[in-house]
Amino acid sequence: MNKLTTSLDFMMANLEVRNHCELFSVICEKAVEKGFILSGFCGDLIEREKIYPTGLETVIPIAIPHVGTNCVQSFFSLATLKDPIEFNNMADPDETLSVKIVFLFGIVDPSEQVHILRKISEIFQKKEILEAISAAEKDMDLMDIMKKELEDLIA
Amino acid sequence: MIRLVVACGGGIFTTTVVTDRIKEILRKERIQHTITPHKITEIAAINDADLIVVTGKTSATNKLGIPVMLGMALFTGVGESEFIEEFLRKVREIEGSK
Repeated sequence: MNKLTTSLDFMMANLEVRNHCELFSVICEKAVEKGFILSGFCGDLIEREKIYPTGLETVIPIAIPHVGTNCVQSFFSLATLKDPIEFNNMADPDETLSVKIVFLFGIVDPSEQVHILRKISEIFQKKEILEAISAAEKDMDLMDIMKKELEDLIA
Repeated sequence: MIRLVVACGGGIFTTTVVTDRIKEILRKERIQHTITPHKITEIAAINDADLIVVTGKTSATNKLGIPVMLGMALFTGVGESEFIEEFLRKVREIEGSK
């Protein structure tokens, strides 16, 4: 089974950023360094967000920016923000959501990752998990939550 | 045989999950089906489907009048049971008219 790569570097609690572009660059810089993505990935994310935004009106609003282009290895990153930033709503792009939890993904081939994408989408539906993520004080707390929920699906 | 289209913007995450959920729902109800992925921008021109499920609000309608449903509930879980009920009602209506 294919796994999604992540590591403590990609778990960021109480990050201070002013907007989604700033957030994307923080994560992309790390992902380029690790060789998960090519430099065009960040621009692709920003473009995608303009046309098809990824804010979600879940029990606690979140955003799930993701693209598959310029991605070498499928990975994900979880950031909680000290101050919320705005994302437009995927279900209704005219609407703005104030978001403090962002799951960011690079997905090379979704057909190979149906199982893990399903599993992650179930996290989006669970208020108690989103609350725990929101309350996490340290990067390690986020990692622990993800490890507990996704078990052997992350590497 | 119900012919479904799942249409979304990026075509990665949401489509994958929504398609998998629909398969699961229809399998459970023993309803034979095919599911084809499309982009939201292609909705108007689709001519070989019975029902279109989209993952983002769109003002686009299908030229042939194929019904379009917003299926975000299957992804966010908010309003999910209402969606499934309405979805199955529509699917059975289409089946009955064939």
